[in-house]
Amino acid sequence: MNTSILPDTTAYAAAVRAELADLPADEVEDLTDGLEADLAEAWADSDGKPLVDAQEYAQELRTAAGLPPARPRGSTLHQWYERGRMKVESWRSAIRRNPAGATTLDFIASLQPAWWVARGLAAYWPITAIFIGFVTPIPTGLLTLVLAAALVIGSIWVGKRNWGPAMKFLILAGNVFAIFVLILALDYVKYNNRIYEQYVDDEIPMYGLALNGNEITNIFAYDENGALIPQVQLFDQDGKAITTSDPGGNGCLTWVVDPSNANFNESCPTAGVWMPSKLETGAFVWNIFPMKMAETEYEGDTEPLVGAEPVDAAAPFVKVPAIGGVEKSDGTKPDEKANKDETKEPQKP
Amino acid sequence: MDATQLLKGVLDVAVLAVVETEDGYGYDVVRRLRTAGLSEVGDASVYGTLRRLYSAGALTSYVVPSEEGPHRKYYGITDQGRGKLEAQREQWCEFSATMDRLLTGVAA
Repeated sequence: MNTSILPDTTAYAAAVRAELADLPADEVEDLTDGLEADLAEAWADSDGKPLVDAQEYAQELRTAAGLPPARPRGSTLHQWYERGRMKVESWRSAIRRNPAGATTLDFIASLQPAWWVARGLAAYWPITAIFIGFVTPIPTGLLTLVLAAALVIGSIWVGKRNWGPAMKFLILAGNVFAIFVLILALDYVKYNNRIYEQYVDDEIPMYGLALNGNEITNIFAYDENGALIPQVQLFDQDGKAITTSDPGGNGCLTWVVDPSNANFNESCPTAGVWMPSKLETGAFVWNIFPMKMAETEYEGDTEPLVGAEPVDAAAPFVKVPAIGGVEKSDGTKPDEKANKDETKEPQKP
Repeated sequence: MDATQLLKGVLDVAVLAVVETEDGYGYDVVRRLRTAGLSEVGDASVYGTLRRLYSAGALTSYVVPSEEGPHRKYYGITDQGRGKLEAQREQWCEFSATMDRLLTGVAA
């Protein structure tokens, strides 16, 4: 055998070994021991030309030896990126096989410019937070507007260019961060809206009873003769129990009126909590009026004092005028008729 | 039909068969297989197979220094390798007889 006409077996063998570099050294040694001699002989039989390139040769060697396929070469970052890209590519082709899937993918791809804009805005928030020191959710000033516009344009520019693997990996990381920021931003907006809704709720009560916007805390019913009815059960047109404000709510047990102070002339030395009444079934209900109140330790407390007896709330009137009977309509409007009856003043206690 | 596909399943037994009577080094084994008619066998496939059979204990190996060039690595069959060869030979004969009948349509 004449090895002199085949001077590159060493280089070829070295290239094959390089392809196997991810394997343990002794494994490579065992696999390629005597490779130069084999190559020289093989090439001599095939007119001095390698039949396949070193990479393919190494791959064949691996497969036949039952070893795992070569890991992608390059930096670890590059390998991760390539592995991820191949995975995504395989998913994409799997989805593309389905016509509906292909349409969906095309639609998502058409949204890409919108994503570039969103990504630019996502960069805007952290940058204002870090460099300006406060978060302005929506750019309003000239500086913030210019900054937001620059970031959106930058994001589009980055999106339109074809980058190398390292930059693509950075963009991927940036995109993940942008998604994170956008989720936080949406949560922030939602949180603010919730606060706002709560504020609105407090201003206009949507529960209980109100008279011209003032909360009704208790109800006093008077009979046909104008005498206070000790206890009355109230229901609405649908048979639902009528309850005032917040069942179980608290208030003032005894008001003290100070005539010397015109503005804050009422004070509450004894706080109380509204108490339900018991039915013959044993159930406690909140639609029996006037409601009684039990003393609490402090104002705002929702637990009555141990052993506190529910006491009657003071009625606004001792007696009101008796009902004068039913009259036939004389054609006047009901509200005009009511105005005429205002002369009958109830008796204050 | 692609002969290389068929070869994949039987390369082990083919390699064992050509080293059964005489030890051989890598390219020597390739050459014997090609001479026997397996012209499409790939060099690296044979070397990988030799390595795998060696790892499995079916072959032994030893290095023979060469005066004129690089050393050569020889492979020889072990008792375990012979046992494996016998078993695979029987399997193959049965399989090929079945395939013959199937493809030629001759009843058994």
